[in-house]
Amino acid sequence: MSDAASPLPHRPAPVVEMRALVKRYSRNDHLAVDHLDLDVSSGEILCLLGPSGCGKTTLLRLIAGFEMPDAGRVRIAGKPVADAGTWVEPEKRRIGFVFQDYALFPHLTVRQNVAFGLRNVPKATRLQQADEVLDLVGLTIFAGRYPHQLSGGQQQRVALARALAPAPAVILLDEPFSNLDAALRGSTRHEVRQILKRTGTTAILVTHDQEEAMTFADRIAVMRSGRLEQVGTPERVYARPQTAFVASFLGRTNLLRAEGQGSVARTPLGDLALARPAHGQVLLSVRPEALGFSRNGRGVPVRVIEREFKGHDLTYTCLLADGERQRLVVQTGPSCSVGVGDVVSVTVDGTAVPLEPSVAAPPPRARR
Amino acid sequence: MLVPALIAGIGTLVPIVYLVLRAFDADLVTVQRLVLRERTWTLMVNTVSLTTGVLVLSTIMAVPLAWLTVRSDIRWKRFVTILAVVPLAIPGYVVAYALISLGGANGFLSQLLGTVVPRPSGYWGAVAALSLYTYPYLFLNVRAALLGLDPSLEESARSLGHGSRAVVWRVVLPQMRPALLAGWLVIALYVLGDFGVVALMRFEAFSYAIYLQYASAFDRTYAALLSLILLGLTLVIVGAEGRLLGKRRYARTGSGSQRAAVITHLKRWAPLAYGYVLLVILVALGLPFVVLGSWMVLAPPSLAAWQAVLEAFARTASVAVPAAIITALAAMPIAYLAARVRMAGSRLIERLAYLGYAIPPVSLALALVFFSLRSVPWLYQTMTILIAAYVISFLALAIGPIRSALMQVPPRLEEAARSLGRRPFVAFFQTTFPLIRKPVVAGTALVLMVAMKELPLTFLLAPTGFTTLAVRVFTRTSEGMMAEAAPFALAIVVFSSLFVGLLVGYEGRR
Repeated sequence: MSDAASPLPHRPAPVVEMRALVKRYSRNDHLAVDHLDLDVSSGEILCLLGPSGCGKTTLLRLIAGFEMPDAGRVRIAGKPVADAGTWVEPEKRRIGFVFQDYALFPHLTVRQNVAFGLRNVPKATRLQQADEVLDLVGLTIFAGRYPHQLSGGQQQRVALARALAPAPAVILLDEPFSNLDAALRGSTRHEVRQILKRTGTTAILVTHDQEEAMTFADRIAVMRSGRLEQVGTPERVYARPQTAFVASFLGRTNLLRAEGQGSVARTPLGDLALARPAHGQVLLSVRPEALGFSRNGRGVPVRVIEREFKGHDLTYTCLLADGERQRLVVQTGPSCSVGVGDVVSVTVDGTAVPLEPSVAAPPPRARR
Repeated sequence: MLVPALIAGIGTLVPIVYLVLRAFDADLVTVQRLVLRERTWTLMVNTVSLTTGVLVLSTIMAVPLAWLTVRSDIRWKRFVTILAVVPLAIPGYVVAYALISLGGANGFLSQLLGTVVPRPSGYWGAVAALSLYTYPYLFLNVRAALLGLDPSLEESARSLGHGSRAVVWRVVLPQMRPALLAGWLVIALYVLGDFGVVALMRFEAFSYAIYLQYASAFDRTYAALLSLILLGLTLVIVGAEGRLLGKRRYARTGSGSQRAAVITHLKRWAPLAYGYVLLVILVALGLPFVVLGSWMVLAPPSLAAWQAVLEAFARTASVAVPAAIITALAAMPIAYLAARVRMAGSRLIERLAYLGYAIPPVSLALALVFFSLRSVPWLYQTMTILIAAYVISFLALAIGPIRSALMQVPPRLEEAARSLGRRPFVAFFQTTFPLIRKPVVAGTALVLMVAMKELPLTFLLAPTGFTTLAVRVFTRTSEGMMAEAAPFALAIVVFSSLFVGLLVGYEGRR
């Protein structure tokens, strides 16, 4: 998938365009989607990532036409579907939707479910075409069964086949893997991604799982309180977070107060090289894997207060020994002999990322 | 979607408005004089004491029976349960008919034993007849609550040092409270709305008095006022139930699956329990069947009589069937709104439909008479107004099952259909409707059954000369022609029982 992940030399016309989109559920509620702009290009897989209640599912439903925006506009495949004077019903938008609970029609067989959206196809070839899509997801042998006779992963793929069958301009997936158990989730995710790429389908996926977003997406859009915090490739967003929220939502990180001096900053861990220049009081993000224990006494002394073994690596929580209450998370290889209570030295290998204040205010209260 | 819901909702309000208009046609002094008459007070006392009497007697019948069929070790529990529910199919006026035809000079007992036994009538006759056919509502509610009772609650109480009697008072009964209140509410609504039993027993409760007042045709203002008072009484009772139920929680708060109820071994009390079950079922179920069956033997109806039954049956069906279908069609959008659309308005429309169910039929009938005479005279005494009355009165019966079925169908299905290119209406009919078809059919069937045996609305609103099975039973019985009423009553009871059986079977198949 390296071709898709690399930055595109020129952007084709976006398949989905959102401009200044606003959605509020009730008058005295906060904005579920707050003046949001976003483009999704053809063949791209975009993940909307954020905590529950950040507005990501609302955004997806606005694109689908299940919700009506209060302001702003949406275009799909170049055609306006929602703006001040236009409203296109969901059935006319050329979208495919994969629901969290799949929403398969329980009274129809797998084949009939997949054929449901093939309305402009002559009856004779409709079922045949459904079978072709089922073949794509590898479920031809289950065509005659009913949804309740399938496993969760199979239902998931039927839902995908049903959404893909009418060849929509964009496919929208609302937390599609969250109902699968952990073992199945990884493999299903991989298969779904391959199918989307093979068919060249544009897709927008909503998730709160950062690992899912990073493995699945060509681009990640991190959402918070109805706004976009950062949009970029998974590598970029992980390695160069713009805000403390993004830095800590995409994995563990160390947030350090520092004094920026151009390309370096003075920190409790000594002078660190910066990913981008910064001046004055600044907050830095340093990933745990950029920290390590030194054997030769170089670095800053810390006391280990917690040790988590995870199989492929070890994560330590330490306190700076200088009396400041700064906590540090250090990740090492799986065979490190340092134990709880030990006083060791920590060194930094890599750059620190200066963070900007969030554009979005923290949510006034959790929405469920 | 909104339009039919609004029509259905307004259908309930318009008649009430006309009732008010008619009642306040007279000047306020007259209204005041009429309301404050001693007779109004007598009727109020009669109605309230009748309701109280029926609640007490039906509780005495229903609660022990429910406990025995859930928590004791009596045998044939399923069978007993079914027999205890079947009286639902027997209309109150048939029970009253059965009781009345026991006594009197032409009565069943005098023909059988040769001695004249006085006819049951008045207060006690009405209490007996109403209790015998309403107790299954309480039985079903209490039974469901007992089945849902978490045995670990009782065990916790025991472990906290309460004896078995204290557990009943402090744990079991409080848990039964919603079921008792719900059952009592249904029964109270029946008693207030009942016309056939009080009229046949000649007991002056509101609905009978309203009819007499209306039929004598001297003072329709007083009839309208009495209808309003009865409606007010009904609303007070509905409100009181809500108030008594309050906001307490009765559901289990914990998680984990619930164990089956603990069974009490009756031991030496067993004969008493069996005797009790036998007595209740013999009286409630046996009495009407034995009386009707005996009339068939004592005075076998002629071929002409059976033909008259058949004709009356056809006439009854000719209003009941369209009424049932229209009711179901109106119920669907209302149930859909209530289950799916989160708006203050959608709840209100549903409430209005339930109000239509709670309006005492005699009040509703008079309201529709006033409405049609005043605004649409060409509808007065037509099938249209009769069917409209059925729809208003029975709408809630069809909404209930459809709404609960809709709650179980995820709205995502319709959204999925829309994302696959279906317009909203098509999406509903291709995805949700197939999944709620059974409850829709069941709801329609329920309305059909209730409409087939309906009495007061038909009696007051039907075109002159249009007699249904129920009207025939009522008029014959009130004229003392017990043998002549028997085949009509039998037709209703057999039809209803078969229908209840079919309905239970249809719901059971999944």
